[in-house]
Amino acid sequence: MKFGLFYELQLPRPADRDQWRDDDEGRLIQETLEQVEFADKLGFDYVFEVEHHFLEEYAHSSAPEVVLAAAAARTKNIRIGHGIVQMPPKQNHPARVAERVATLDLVSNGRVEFGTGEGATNTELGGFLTTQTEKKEAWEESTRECLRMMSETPYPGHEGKYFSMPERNVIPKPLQKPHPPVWVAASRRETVMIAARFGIGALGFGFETPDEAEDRVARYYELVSQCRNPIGKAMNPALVTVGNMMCAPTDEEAVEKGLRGAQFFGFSFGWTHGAVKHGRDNVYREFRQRYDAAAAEAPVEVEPEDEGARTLYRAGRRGLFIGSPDFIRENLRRYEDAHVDAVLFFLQCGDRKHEHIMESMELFAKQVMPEFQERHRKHQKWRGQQLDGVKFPINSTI
Amino acid sequence: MARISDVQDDGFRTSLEEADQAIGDGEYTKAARKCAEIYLNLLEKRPDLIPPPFDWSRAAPQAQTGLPASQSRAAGGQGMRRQGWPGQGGIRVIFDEQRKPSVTYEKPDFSFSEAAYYFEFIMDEVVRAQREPAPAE
Repeated sequence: MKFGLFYELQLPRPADRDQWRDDDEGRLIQETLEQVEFADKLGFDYVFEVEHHFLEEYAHSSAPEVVLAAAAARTKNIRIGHGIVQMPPKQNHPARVAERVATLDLVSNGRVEFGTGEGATNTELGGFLTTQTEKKEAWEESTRECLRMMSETPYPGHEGKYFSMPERNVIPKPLQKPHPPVWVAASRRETVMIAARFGIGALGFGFETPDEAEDRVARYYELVSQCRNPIGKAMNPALVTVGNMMCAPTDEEAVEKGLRGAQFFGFSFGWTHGAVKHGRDNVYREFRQRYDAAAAEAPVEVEPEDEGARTLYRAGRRGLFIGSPDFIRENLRRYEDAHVDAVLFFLQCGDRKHEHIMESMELFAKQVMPEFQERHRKHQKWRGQQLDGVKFPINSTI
Repeated sequence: MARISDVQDDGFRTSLEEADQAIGDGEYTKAARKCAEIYLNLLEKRPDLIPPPFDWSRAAPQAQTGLPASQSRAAGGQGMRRQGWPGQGGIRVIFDEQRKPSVTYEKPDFSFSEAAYYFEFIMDEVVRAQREPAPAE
């Protein structure tokens, strides 16, 4: 099993003032780069960063290609992942995506993982006048053409439903041929299976349990092994899941340092789906007021039936990776048994302290990660058996 | 893991095979519409599967965020759960005041990804329904 970090670039507003301080966003970026540099030295395999727009406090990562380029310049081995690029052309023209991803691949010396997706919430999509109805079809058209732009000389042009352009040679071309490994963001099970049918990796954002992951892995690898119409020129068969993480010497310390950040993650995620007052909400202040009030309430243990609501619910819970090394190890083994290819951690979130994040990474890397890395060959062998008979080229870092 | 061959009901199995075949033939609009038909048939036969009303604007941010449940030491989810028709991709399943479902098509044509998306949903839903018999009245 491989491991990575996942960044939303969360930045709660100060509870005691209406807006951020002038240096808050800069500090967030600089701390993130320090963390990624450290993760590279510790042996983490991936760093992924989202692209979100207008989602104040929840994600200040609207230009990930810039941060990822800086991260690439400060690191040597860690894979540099877009998690994801919003592909509907109203958000990003596919030619601009192809140019940026290829350039980042050159800057990083061939370390790019190209995550794709659609964008979510009316706050975000509505800012670009993209509708829920069109976004999936627009993702498909744009992703397919973007991968052609990276791998065909010249790109012959396209007359499509969501964008058109004449023949051009889109340059530069990526270092990885025919293009970097491709992924899609998959909050729902169905999107995981679309990934399989298109021969690309699934970035599972559903906070799947090990049992759910096992079911998805089985169907995913069945479909991907039968893939006849890959969306790109090379397949990336892989299924990862995400979880909120804080590793500390004891469970109590991990919960103390990490739980509130996870709760803010879920809370602010939920907030983005509501009626947002742009530039005027103070989500963190609201969160703290409710947090303090909720401490006296009885816990509710029933998960929502709706998958979207359930994801939100799980995002705000302790989950399986906030705890001591033993706690995290035990839970990771369940994902390993389910043949999940990699687990990505939300470590930077809410009001967590930079030093706690650094300590957590180091403890995890020293006490948990090595045994999973040692067993990864066994997983690769299993994966090779699943992919036996696949006719298409594979470019994957699993 | 759900497979068409797992479906015991002849009508549902045949319909799923038709949808799967349509995807294979590149008839994505036909496949997407077939999936919506299957869902309506399923809800007609199994009204207990009609999802309860859910409204993001009410649910977020006040509810479902783990407060205060996340104070709990319990970790992880509670296993696989049923889910509602996906709220994206151009086919809406809407419910009237009596929770009677109907389908609206927000565009005339559907893509491969949309057809496959709906197919994976409805196949899983049918198999789950089979696994979880309707509660006795």
